[in-house]
Amino acid sequence: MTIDREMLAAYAEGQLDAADRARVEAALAADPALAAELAGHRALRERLRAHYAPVAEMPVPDRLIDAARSPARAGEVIDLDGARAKRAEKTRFSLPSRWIAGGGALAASLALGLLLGSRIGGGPVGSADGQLVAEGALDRALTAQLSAAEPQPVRILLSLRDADGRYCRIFETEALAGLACREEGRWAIERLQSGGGQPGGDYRQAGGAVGEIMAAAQALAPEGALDQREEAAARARNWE
Amino acid sequence: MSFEDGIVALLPRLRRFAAGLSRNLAEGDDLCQMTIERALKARHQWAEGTRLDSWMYRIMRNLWIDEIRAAQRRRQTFVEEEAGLGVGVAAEQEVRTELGFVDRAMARLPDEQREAVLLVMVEGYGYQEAADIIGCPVGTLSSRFVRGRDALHNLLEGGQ
Repeated sequence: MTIDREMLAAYAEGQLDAADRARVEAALAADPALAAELAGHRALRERLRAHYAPVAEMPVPDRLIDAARSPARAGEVIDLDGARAKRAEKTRFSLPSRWIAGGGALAASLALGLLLGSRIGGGPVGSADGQLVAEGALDRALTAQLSAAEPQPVRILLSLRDADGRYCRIFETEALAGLACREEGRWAIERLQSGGGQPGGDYRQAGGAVGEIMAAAQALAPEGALDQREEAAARARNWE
Repeated sequence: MSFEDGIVALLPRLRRFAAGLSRNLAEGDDLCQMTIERALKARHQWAEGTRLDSWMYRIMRNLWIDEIRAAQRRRQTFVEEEAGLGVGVAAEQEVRTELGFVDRAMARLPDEQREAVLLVMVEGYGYQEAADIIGCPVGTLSSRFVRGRDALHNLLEGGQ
């Protein structure tokens, strides 16, 4: 007997009763082309599942949890068109001011000049496709370290997600402070200032470089930094 | 578990379905929030002891259909096809290309086939449950699903 496409799909999705299942299985055993069609169905399902799985594995944004538990705080999405316009507005305001165009461009380029000029054995910052990217120990620290208060050669102060869903991290070394955001599997340096924190000092009280970067971070993520659990989850997904 | 807790527990799955429908994570989250708001307002319509998940999926799907109709009235392209989900499982360029293929192929399906494929293949609903969420007969669901699956298969196997 012939098994049509709908019957085979229903079999693959576990939608048949025992009698139909047995008929399909008998046909599958006798017909390699049908078996190949079944394999194609299953491969497509796996591909789709893998494609959408990361969405369900990401931390749920606070605003959605608020919408369920404390609607007054979450505000309301009246319609998608309005929400889209609002989001576009927000994105415009929170676009990372590129170091080259920002007010701190001069200081940043001086810091960079020093950095790039003294790259012996691999410095912390390089460039790729016209974008500054973290390299070496800085790259490794951004990828592997969680935010910590205690001094380290590269200290991560906090992590956040910006309006575009990118993970960004504020880092500090003895000589530098900066903001790096995950893009295309690299840490793109969005801001960089010379003169990081004092060794052993408390970044919260440190003015200057870190203060400016913190202010930039707040503009990027008004809802605040990731908590420890969110940060660990982001790291487990390699910041994607 | 309270009604609110039930909703919160469903949020990861609801976001996935919303991202699949809207083909855009940020827009999907807006759709998700609207769904939560609608569910809270209509909570008296949910019969305790019945499945909260299919009820919420139905709300979301209907909100999305309203949105498609509104967008058609505005006669404007709703989502940039290229925008994709903007999420990735890994950083490798090949994987990003792969994500682009699936997003583009899904974008080319008619809405009724896309939702059928999402509910059955991604969300794992049986035909009857998926048909109940959409509000169509099981036979209709089955044929939309198979047509959508075949179209996707051809688009993706064709290297597009």
